[in-house]
Amino acid sequence: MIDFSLLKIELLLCGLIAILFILDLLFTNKKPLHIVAIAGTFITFAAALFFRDTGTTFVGSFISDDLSIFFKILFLLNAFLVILLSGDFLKKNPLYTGEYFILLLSATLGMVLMASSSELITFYISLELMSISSYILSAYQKSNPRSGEAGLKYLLLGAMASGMLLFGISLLYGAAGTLHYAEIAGVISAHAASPILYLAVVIILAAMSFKIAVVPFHMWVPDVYEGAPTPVVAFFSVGTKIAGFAVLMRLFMTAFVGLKAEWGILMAAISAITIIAGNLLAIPQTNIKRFLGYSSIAQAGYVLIGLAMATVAGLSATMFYLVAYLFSNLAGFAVIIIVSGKIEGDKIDDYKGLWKRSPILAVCLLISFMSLGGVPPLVGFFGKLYLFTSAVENGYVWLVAIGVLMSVVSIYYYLIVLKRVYIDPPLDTSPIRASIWENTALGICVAGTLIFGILPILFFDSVVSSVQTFLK
Amino acid sequence: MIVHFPFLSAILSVTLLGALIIIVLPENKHFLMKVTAGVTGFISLVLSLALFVLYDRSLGGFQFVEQIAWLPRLGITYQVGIDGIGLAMLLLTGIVILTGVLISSHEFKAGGLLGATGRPKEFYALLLVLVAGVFGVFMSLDLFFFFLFYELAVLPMYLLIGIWGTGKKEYSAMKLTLYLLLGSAFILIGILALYFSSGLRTFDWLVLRSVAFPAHFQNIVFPVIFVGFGILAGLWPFHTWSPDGHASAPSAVSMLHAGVLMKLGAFGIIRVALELFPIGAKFWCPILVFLPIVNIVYGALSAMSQKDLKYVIAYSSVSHMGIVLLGICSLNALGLNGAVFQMFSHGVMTALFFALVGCIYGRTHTRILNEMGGLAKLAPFLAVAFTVGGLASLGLPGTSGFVAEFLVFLGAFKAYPALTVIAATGIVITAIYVLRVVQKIFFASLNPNYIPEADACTMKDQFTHEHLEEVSDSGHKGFPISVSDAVLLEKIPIVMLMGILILFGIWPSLIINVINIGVSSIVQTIGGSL
Repeated sequence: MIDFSLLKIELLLCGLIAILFILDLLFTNKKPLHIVAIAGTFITFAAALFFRDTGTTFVGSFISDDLSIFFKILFLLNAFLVILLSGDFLKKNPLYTGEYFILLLSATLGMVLMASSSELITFYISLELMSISSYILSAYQKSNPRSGEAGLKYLLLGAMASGMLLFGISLLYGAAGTLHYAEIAGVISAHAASPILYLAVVIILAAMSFKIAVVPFHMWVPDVYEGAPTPVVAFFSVGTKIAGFAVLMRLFMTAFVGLKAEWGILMAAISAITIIAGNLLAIPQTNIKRFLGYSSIAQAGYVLIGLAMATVAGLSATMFYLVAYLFSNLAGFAVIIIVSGKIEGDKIDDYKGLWKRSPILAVCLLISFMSLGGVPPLVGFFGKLYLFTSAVENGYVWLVAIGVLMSVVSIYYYLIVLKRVYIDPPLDTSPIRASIWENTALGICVAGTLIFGILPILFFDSVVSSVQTFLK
Repeated sequence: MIVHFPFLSAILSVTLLGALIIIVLPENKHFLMKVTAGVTGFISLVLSLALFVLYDRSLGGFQFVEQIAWLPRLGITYQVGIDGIGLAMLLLTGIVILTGVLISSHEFKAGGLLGATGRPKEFYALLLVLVAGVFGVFMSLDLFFFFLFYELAVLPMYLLIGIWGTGKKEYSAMKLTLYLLLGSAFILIGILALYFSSGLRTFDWLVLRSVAFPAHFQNIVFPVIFVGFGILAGLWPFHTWSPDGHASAPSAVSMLHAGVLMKLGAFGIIRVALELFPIGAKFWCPILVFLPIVNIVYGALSAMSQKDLKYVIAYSSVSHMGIVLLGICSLNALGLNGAVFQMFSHGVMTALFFALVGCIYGRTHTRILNEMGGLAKLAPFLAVAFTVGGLASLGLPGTSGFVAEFLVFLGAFKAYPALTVIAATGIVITAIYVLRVVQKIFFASLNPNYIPEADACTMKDQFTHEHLEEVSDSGHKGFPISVSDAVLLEKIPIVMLMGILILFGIWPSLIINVINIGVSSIVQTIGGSL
């Protein structure tokens, strides 16, 4: 018996995609499409906030619990904010407006399904739904060779990661004889883990490292970020990453929970290397999108700290930090989208004297970067502190020392950018104005960064309790 | 408690509200911004004074405590309260912010030091956010909020120096920020270690104080926290950010930074390191005491060899902060009383100095000592004020500097007699460089390029705005410059600061009685002698 009541969010999304598809065929004026996409995503997001049904369906391969609902809310919020921010870009590249929204939402659908999958094939298919939509989106500006290059690069490397993932899954199936997470966990706890199983775990972790962009599988990030359209970059810098972590969390905490000690150390090591490499490589960047690419690599390293701990505190910290990352990173991208729409350039030097051209955008960029750098009283600070707390609790003091020192480095390079924004004289003093949709998105992101930083309690308890029920 | 008005939160919210009002004011209402900042500074000073009067001296301990659960699951509480030491620091902050705002509102006038850069909106907003952070640190009784306010006090500095500074401002601003953040990285690790090893999962300072941590733990964590806060207090060899930072910063920021922010470091050492790790303190202080000694002597020697007036004052801050740290390391009541009193006295004194340096620099357009001379003839008020500050700096009896240094050396001599003798040479060197500076700027023969203001009108053609722009940072280059005495807006803060220096020099018990309440409870915890 298939329980469709658990699939409300997914069905709403499918419906929205269908509506957009039909409208795209019927109308030549694409303006209403944007409005429908905004309204539809918002309605889905709002519905997800009130969605509480938990259970499993499709013979246990689809699970709906507090954890997955939490992640779905984040994905929908991400899609909503990015769609708000896409107006200016679509005005300039109007050729495939309908396809743009449809792909964006189908990628979101992939993410939503990833958060709920509890069986490897379901997971793989949702992952591909997300990935293939993202590949096309990165190459959206067909006429721009950089965008094409980004799309191709993303596709090739992504396909390699998918191949690795399939290889890992097949090894895992060979060793455990099942694809359901819970049954794999049973097999692991019943028998001593075989070398093949270890190999499978490592390969799957490597493949997922590509999606969440941690060292040594981070190479694609700067190039793709630089070439792909900025709203699309904003979309997958947050969405893909959160989806990757959502899957890692469920897969590793249910299926591989018996091998916690082994993969915990592995992840801690990866996270340390990622934090160091991401932060150091961000320093010499001159392109703001590459810069944010490296910064997002470093951020993923921080998130991985919590996952490596594999405790209630660690997982809650991971989830909390992902929320912090969503708001802060999207606030930064919102500013970049607005500015680059006006000045047609992505050089960091183009941001000289931004305070003069738009004081509000300058303040928003300041808040976003300071939150990413972990400065109080912004949400990133509390997120980092909570991650570090969970690591010290598990005795990973060395990891915390690296994390804290590297966040000093991160402040350095964020300040280098902010120096241009605030201290250097402007090259051009024409004011920069944003549309109402862009301002709304920016306002939501900055408000989230500020409010959840001052009052993390607003959703802190629900995060912790959803992790507690998940681990039970 | 008799009074239930939440004084401490009121101080915090007034400063933050002031910053918020300034942010939403329209861009061109410069006067309103200055007034808002001034009123905010004034209210916070009045509230600190009210606290000073209302604090029940017979009761002692922490008063005006407010508590709101913030994140119970992690043991974080918004908890503020004030003891004798915090009270003195609160008062100091109130004084320095008010005078700083007044001085800078004069500098924002056309032709003033900040006039060319402009942007008073961001300046005052950042300044008030910074001050809110400072107030927060002095009153926090929860380590999470302590750290939060600490960071809030440190970071606006980058923009304040980077935008409105002079000279190699971007380098100085970045150096300062990175040094201080490195310090806070140490502090954060120390705080997390405290959080877990207590086994109570709480950041509540009052609870943690009652925990007896094992000796080996204290011995490991104490130096981490000491150095972390020491960086902000200008502890040698981590002091190099301070001369660059202070020399590049605009006057009001130097005043706040040297006057108040460096005290945050010393305050943090007392509040976190000393009170939570008494055993660690006893083990480490006799070893670490060498660093403050170097601070005192090396800082004074460096000040002596500087050519730039602002660097002289900046190095003298390094030297004087050494006296504070020496008092802390002596671990007895005399030394600690002296240290806290020196924090207060030096805060006022250095605020006075930096205010005066701003006034002088705004007139002469150079800070190189050799290029000045004879200003006493043209600006007698500034000369008198600078001399009073200088005398307080070298510890002349009758000024608060004397009382503070006397107490510190008395306490330090009890603990480390031989080392104190070396440290005391610092006072002699201080006298040399202070008197040399006063002599060079004010009393040597008058630099012929300086002309009285009355004469300037007759040679208006030469004295144009472009000319001022050209000379702004780089000395007057032989152009005639009109020098006038201080105007009212400068005189008010300078007289205030001077008055306080002398008042507490003559009547130190006014504030020592309060400080002593806080200090004696610390001495009890450490088990040191009186």
